[in-house]
Amino acid sequence: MKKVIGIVSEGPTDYLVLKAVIDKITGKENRYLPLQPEPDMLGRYGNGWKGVWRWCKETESMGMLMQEIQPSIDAIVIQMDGDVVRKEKEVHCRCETTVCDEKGKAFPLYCDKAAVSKCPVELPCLSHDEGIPAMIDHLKSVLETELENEDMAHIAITIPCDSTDAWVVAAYDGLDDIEMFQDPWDRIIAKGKYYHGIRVRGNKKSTNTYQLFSGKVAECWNTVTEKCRSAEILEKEVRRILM
Amino acid sequence: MSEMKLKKITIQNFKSLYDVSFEPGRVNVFIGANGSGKSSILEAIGVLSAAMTDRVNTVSLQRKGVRLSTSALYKSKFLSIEKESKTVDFSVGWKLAGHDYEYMNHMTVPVDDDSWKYFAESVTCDGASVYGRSNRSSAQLNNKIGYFTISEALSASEYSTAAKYIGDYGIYQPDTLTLRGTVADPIQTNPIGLNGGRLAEAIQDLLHEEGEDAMFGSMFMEDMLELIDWASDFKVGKPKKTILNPGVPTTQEIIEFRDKYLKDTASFTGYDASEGALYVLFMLSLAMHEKAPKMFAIDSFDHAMNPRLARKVAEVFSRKIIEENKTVFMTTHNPLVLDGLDLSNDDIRLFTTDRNKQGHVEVRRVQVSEKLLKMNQPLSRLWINGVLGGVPELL
Ligand SMILES: [Zn+2]
Ligand SMILES: [Zn+2]
Repeated sequence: MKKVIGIVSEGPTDYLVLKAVIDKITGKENRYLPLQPEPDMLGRYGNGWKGVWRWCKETESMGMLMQEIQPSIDAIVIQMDGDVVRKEKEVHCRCETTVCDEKGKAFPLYCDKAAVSKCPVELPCLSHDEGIPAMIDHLKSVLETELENEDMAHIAITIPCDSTDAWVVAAYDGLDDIEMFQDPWDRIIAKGKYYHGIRVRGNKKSTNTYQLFSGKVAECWNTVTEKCRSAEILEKEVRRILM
Repeated sequence: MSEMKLKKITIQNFKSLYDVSFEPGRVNVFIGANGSGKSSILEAIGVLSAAMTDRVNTVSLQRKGVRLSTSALYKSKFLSIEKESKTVDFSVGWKLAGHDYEYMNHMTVPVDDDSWKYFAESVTCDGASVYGRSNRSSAQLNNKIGYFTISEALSASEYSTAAKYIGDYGIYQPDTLTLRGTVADPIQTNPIGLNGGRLAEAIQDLLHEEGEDAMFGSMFMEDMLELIDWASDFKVGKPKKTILNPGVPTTQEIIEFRDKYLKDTASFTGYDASEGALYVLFMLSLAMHEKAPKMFAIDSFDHAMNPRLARKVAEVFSRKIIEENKTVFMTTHNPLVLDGLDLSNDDIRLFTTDRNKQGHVEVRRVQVSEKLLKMNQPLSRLWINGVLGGVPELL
């Protein structure tokens, strides 16, 4: 029987990469359920990092979803890109150095102040150390706050840094310190019309393009884990929850 | 004698169904993205039905609503299959009067004409062989005809019961103009054509009185009318000039509705009937008409029905199918149809279809615990949220 893995990701391109990578790590074809972005016109959870965060907040019991449906879901992998830490104020709402009278009251994504661009958070947030491990730890803890009541034995969080695109660059170009490189999509992959012979449209990450990229990431996964701490952590997490 | 009940269907090397097997109940609902193989499953059952009880060629398939395509398409063509399998294989298992039966066959797709050839077919009862032939052992037999209905070894009544049950299978795809009787059904089967032809006559058969009560089949007329909320009554009659535009061609009988919002409560009209009402009547006629097939398929069950109506009809329809000991296979894209299914009843089964990496169709039965259903988690929401599977991956 194939293992069933639910994927909660920022977008379809992240979904493709995770699928390819998890198959690679487990050494077999698994069955994947795209849980987020929601395949629904209403887009109840919305896309991107907000959608992932909201999914974690609003899914009442993942354990229940995993056990009460047959074929049951064996594991859930939740993904949020590391760049959210440097770009988005809301994920620092609850940080030590944040001074805000709404702090701790509203769920940050529903905060009235944020809605009218009056969030007092200043970026970069001074509550964390610099560097990749701190970035990963912070986003992980933001999501874990919403998962307090979950048994994490079969749930993993992955924070690709700076984004899943960095893993693509690591696979193709083998660059050191690629995780420190900001916005690899705009600044490397979509810089020209082609990236390693693959046509790239700068403004849009197409799933067809990413189908090819994700194959390469899986193929060169050893290099990717050598170059990217975030990839190395995912490998460990996949082994923990699935093997 | 207990009623016929299907146990298992296996399909190999047919289109994208490389190796599919599933255990159907009475009501079988398939959900999946477009192109995930739902319709191929309905078609494969059509081929199986034709193969077991008749023969497989253009005419026999057409009669069952199996869409025609070039012969090469019937056989799986996947790059990953190194040695292309020689035959398309089907099997169906069923239970009847306490015994377990299985029919298996291996066929080759047509090369020069349009007839599929029987490479081998066999029948077992409780695991013991009762009939078998293969290309090698009996070359003298006609290899373009199925022997299930003609072999002397299978002359007992339980085999003719099974042949009738499985042999009447057809894929229904109702179409509004045909339901209205304004165009003839290209595939007119008895009592209702695959596109809904002669629905009026079928309804006529179902309308009757029991004591004081007006009935539609086994349903009280008032329960039936609850599904058509704008109508206060319906009947079947010869078209009168007064209610129809003379320019509208019709078949012999038409269905007439009395609109409860119209002041003139005496008038019935046929041509203006809503599509939804006709579909409801069509579904329930198929479920209840004694001459309608015991086993059939409906592609796009929700077609032309408002989501809430589709949910209610799914519920009533399933109940009737089970009462009548029928077997139905249907596809839907409408989440609310799922909410009309009582999955705690083992006769009602939900399946997802997905394609794997090689493009092969995978069919899975989905079961949801009572506990989850009770926790305000309707199936529609679970489907939309992706936890059941059967959704397009990248939309
Ligand atoms: Zn912070
Ligand atoms: Zn705030």
